[in-house]
Amino acid sequence: MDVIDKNNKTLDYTPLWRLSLNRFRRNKLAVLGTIVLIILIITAIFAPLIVQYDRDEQNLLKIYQKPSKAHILGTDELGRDVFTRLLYGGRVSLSVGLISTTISVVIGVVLGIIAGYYGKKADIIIMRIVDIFMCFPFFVIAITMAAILGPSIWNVMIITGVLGWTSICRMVRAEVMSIKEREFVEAAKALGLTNREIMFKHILPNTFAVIIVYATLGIANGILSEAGLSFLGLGVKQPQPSWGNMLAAAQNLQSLQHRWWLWIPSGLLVFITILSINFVGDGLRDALDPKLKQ
Amino acid sequence: MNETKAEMILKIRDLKLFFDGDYGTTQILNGISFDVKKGETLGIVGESGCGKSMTAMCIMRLLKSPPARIEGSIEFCGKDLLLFSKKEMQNVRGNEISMIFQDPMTSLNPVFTVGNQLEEVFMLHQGMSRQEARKQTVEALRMVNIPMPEKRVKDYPHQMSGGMRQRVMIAMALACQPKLLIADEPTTALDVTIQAQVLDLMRNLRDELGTSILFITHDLGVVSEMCERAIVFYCGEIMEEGPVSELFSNPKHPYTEGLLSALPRIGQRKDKLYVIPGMVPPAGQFPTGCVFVERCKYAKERCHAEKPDMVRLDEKHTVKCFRYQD
Repeated sequence: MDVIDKNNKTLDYTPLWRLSLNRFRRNKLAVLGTIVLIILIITAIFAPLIVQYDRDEQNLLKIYQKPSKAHILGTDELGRDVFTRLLYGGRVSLSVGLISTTISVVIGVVLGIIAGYYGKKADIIIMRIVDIFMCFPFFVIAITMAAILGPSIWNVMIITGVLGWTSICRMVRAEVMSIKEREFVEAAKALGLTNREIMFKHILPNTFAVIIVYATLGIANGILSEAGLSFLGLGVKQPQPSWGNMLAAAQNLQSLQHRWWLWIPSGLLVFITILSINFVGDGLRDALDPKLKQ
Repeated sequence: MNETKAEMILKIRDLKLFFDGDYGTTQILNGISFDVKKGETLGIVGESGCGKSMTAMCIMRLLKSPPARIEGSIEFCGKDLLLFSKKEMQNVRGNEISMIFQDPMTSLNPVFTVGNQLEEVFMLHQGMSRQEARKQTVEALRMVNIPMPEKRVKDYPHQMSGGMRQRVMIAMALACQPKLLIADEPTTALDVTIQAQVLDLMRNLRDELGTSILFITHDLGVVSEMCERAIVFYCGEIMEEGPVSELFSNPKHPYTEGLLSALPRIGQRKDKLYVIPGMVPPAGQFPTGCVFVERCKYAKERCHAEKPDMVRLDEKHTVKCFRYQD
């Protein structure tokens, strides 16, 4: 039997993901943000089981009713239950955030890896495209595109996704440029792996910390963008509710001054959701920071 | 050299390496020629920056071109690697020629388990399914004396000590039983006791698998323990080549002499160890004559003006010095 020197003992039996999870758990705000987000997601998914009214159910005899036992957040200009629409609106806003972020992450990560790994011409071309995209103010382009494509939930997702990839592209590129100089990449080449295998099997997983943090904060941007576009009437169309088009009630001076229940709940939910996502994002950044792994 | 061609695994002839930059061309290697025989361990010794690792990178074709430009020939099993396509070279790497790197701490991917990384080699070069590769991985770890390999396959690199990690690297390098293993300072980052274990392991595996080893190091002690023959590098050129026993007992080149004089010896009482005077000149600023001229105690006028040729002293011993030329 082989005798192994005591110097070859195992140093640390805790897997990386568990170390990160433990660090995340110690961050009170991040945990609070996670709990709030879970509650919001669950209520959005199970909205039909929670509410007692139909999403588009109108009652013109009960328009602009103040919050009461029958309608805990009152009714709107068509007598629809605001609480019901708020939960259904959460579905739209959260899914816009998720899908638009997925689009921008996929575009940004792929282009960022190519630019960072190959450098030279590929890098120059991709980074010039990034510069062009970053020259224009997001909302100006988003409004123009929304006006051309027309208001719809899918258009909001595509617009937000296609315009939001530049910052993650730059971050991933910077990470890849650093990672590709590390010895394990050289070792992978020496084992006969192709460039594609090295890029996507070896380098990409090492950028996950950056991607996860960006994606988390990107969801917040997606929700805000949807809210902004819908507020301007260029996002999600009525009768489908979203937090953004419910906020549009605040455009009416009468509602702004006297009917707080029409716009404060949706504004508050956008605020709470964004705040929670930012807490989670900060928590993830701290938990996944490689410098803390030592 | 009267060895038959069949015995030669690697045959390098007049290897030159240049780096083309914005400010001109820098020569790193200048006319390197040597052979590696089947089943032998050849040591490459020299100070940092003398081109040892660059030679390994040339053999593996791991240098980006441009800026790197390689001339000469690198014959592996009778075929010139410099004529291979990218695809052909990928099939050679890790399969027929493997490489172990200096630092086991950074040579493994931190986000994958060691099992995962070993499996990849088996799946890539031997077309195994993941299940087959998993079995082979456990066996490979057992082969390099890692205890409880069934458990250790699930470990991440950070859960292992330096010695363990280097064993994993050796297992990865030898997974496909390559004909040639290039070990680029594999023990430099390890402490002495672990170093001894790793060298012992490499020796046993070499004898077991019949793999030829090109052992790059700056540690003469390691060379004496591991290698039958050694090459002494300086400023991208070979200064001396011969059997280790002869190089150590009867060094001919002033540089080899200097390296051996700088070694501490038990029982020898000295206030200070010998130091070769001067510094290794940076690449691109090598002397026009003999590259060692500025640090050589035997230097003559001729050494400044002309480059010495490689002189064969006997069947196995060659040296690049004017003192043996006439």
